[in-house]
Amino acid sequence: MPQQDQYGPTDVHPKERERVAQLIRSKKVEVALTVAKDIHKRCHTAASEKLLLDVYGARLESLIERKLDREATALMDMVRERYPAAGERLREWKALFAAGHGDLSALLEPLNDAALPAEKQAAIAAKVRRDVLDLRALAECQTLAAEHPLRAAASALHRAFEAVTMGPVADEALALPEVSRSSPLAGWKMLVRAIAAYYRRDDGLCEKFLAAVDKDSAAARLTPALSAMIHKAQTLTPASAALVKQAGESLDSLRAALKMLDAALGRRNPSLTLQEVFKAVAACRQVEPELLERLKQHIAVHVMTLGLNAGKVAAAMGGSSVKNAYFWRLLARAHEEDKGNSVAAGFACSSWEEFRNHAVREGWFPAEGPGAAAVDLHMVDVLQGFAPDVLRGLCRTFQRHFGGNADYFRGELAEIRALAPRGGNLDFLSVDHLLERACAADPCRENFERWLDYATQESPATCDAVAERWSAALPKDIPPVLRLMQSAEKRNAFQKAFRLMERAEKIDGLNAEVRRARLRLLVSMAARHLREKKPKLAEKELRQMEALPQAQQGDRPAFAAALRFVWCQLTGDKPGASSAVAEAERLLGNKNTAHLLLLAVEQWCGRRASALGDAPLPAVPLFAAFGRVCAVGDEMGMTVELIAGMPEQMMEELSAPNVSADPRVLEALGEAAMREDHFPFAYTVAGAGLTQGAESYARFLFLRARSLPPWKEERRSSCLAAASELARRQHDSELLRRIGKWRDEESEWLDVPDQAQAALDSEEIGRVVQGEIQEPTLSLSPPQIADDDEECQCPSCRAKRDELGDGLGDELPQELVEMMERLGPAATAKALAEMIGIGGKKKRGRRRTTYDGMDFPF
Amino acid sequence: MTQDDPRQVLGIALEASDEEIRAAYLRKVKEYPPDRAPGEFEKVRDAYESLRDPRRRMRQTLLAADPKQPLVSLLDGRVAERRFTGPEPWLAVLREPKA
Repeated sequence: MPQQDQYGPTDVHPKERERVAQLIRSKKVEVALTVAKDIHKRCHTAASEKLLLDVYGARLESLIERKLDREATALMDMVRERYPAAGERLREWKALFAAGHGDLSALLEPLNDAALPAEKQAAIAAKVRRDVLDLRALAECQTLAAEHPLRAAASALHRAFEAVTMGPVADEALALPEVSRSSPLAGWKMLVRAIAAYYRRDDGLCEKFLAAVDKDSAAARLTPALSAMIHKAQTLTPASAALVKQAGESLDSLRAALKMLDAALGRRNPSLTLQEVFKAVAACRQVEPELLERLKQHIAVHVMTLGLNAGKVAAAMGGSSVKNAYFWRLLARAHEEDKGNSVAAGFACSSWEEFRNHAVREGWFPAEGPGAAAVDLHMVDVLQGFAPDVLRGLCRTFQRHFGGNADYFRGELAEIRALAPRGGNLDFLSVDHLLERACAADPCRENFERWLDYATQESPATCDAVAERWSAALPKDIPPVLRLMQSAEKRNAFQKAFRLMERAEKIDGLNAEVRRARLRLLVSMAARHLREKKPKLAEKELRQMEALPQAQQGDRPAFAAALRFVWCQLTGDKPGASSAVAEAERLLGNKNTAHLLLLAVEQWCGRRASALGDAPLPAVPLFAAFGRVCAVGDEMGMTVELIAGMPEQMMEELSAPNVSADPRVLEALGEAAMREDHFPFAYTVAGAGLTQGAESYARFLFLRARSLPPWKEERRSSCLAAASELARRQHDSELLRRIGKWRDEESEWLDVPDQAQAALDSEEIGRVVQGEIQEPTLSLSPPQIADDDEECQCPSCRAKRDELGDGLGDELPQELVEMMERLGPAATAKALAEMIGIGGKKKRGRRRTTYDGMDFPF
Repeated sequence: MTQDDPRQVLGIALEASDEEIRAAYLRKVKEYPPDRAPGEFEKVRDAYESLRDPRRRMRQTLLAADPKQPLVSLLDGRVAERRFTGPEPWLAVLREPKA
């Protein structure tokens, strides 16, 4: 209260002054003007007039900023008339007005006065900082000397601003030493650097420079646009929005168009899809032209799989897509998506063939080499997903209906058209041809192994031909030589087998496989001569065999003694025979094993009646004795057959708690059981094997997987996955190969996953092993089919359920009824299946697709 | 290309040679040393493992195409261009009257 007394009614109270200033700051100039007018009406003093002129000044600045020139001029005229004392203020305003139109001379002219008070200098600097938008005008302002710091700074900034908006600039162009930190143009320096950082994709730095631009400086007018360009949400003026559109990233429109097209494709709506295709292609052409061809290729393949009209889609795209390697790969993969459909697989291979040709031309890979071979092998993978009879049917279908991919090449460039296939070459459907081509392109061991594996299913002659090709391509590889040797041995061409053996020994005489092969060859020849009752010839081979170092390992000498025993019987050498028996017993350490071995060898060598006496009393468990015989038999090439009654006894022995056994012996027993499809025995052997230590887990898990009944899919998958992982860890490539081969063979009828599950960790493997150990016996009862499961309605199953009965003729054509009566329901069903379609994978049903009826537009 | 595409992980082109693949791998290992960025390093190592063998590399190339991928995913990883416009659009913002 005492303070209020200092001011009379005609004084401008500081609070009033502050209120007006506050209103100006908050851009409420109209309100400020009303308040100032009221104060001036009340006070009518120089102070109140000054306050009013301040408000008029703010209003004038606002008008100038908004380019409202007429209103600004009118305001200045009005002030000149009403307030004659405002001459100096009017001069400032005129200078400001002129500056807004690029004429800075009036604004800057006072700076030439060396005696200009600092306060005035600061006011001009503030106006330059806040209001000068035209750097060029400032740089060229003749009012100031050319070397004036303000002109020099403006000139440098003008050049830098033009440079950073035209193209990449070097760091030196951004140094701008002419512009000091205290310069009224310092904000421009930060802005120029922010623009350069934006184009250099350094958004963090750009943001930092933008933050350094004074909020009320002229340069700050560009900060919203630049912030928006680095993905900071901003409200933009029309010019700023236009700038963002021109200089900023603009995939949004294309992204939106593609999302709409995806949605239309998902709805399978042809007319909507065509519209969206048109829009998406147009957006892509405008925004991202280099993506256009790829987009068209993807659209073409998408619409093909949906069965839309290809011509209309091509028209909507403004022309069909380029049929280069990228397109063919995409198309091939699209065909592959129709899993289980052999015709689709045929089209996939046809597309891969095109891909191969185009990829070579386009330089993806050379015509000869691992790249080209990888395509061939992939085609083999696709084809081998189907049974051989299905593939034969597929070839017949393609021979009748497939006219090549000529339609795809219509309208293409000459160099692409030149690669269009001619004639009805269907080699891409021949596994043998593809494997041969893969081996020619990339003659490596893995490829030849694969070809040989395939040829093994064909005929021995094919197999030999492949082995010959392998050996010719890779003369230092032993497997083809050994394969040829075995083939010759099977044909009783022992001379040739021996020559091949010598060739293998020349390549690598110390190779364990070669050494084993020599031993086996000699044993095989000796056994054959013993079977043919040619003891003289057999004697020679026996001597050679007995002299081999590899025949002295493990139970092999006992095996040799057993052969010698048979030889002695043939030559009537009874003391020799007794001596051989005694030798076998000594070497094996017990009479039971020796007895079983001698029996097995006698049988193998064609001795109808055994010269051995009664079996000795059991001193070792039967599984241990018989397992050893199986193991040494496997080593020497002798197949040991299970004897009736033995598996049951061995299962009982192996089911006892804490059985201790040699894993090698158990494995041989397991393989003997699998050879004769004695799954319960193999299952029991696997269980016993799993209790013998972690080292042989992998092999017994694999045995357990193979011995499980078909409906135990989950356990089989777990066992296979664990076995694979353990084999990988133990670097047991031979076991991995066997697992892979078994998986390939059995996936035709068992539900075996195509690939191993994701690698199991040690804990998971431990759980699988423990789970299998805790299941010592095999339940052979298949799972009960739930009541609500739909029953199979095929004639065969219905006949089994006696559902066809007397009403047969009412439901089926007469020809079928007659066929069923003549051939039975099962044969009729099979014949029908062959007639109706060429089928798909054995275990999966066929879905109806665009390929059915060959209605696919070639 | 997806984020798991080994070529994208190593930042190399489709036609990169053995030497280029190895150089890219060494570069990435320097960028993501195993002690400082084990996760990234593992990705880089896996990518290199799948590309160093030409047969695996080719197989991976064959399977890289995904015909079912949504068309919008063609823009994944694509960086839009920042276009140099010259000073004019920028000056237009400065010349624009204040609202």
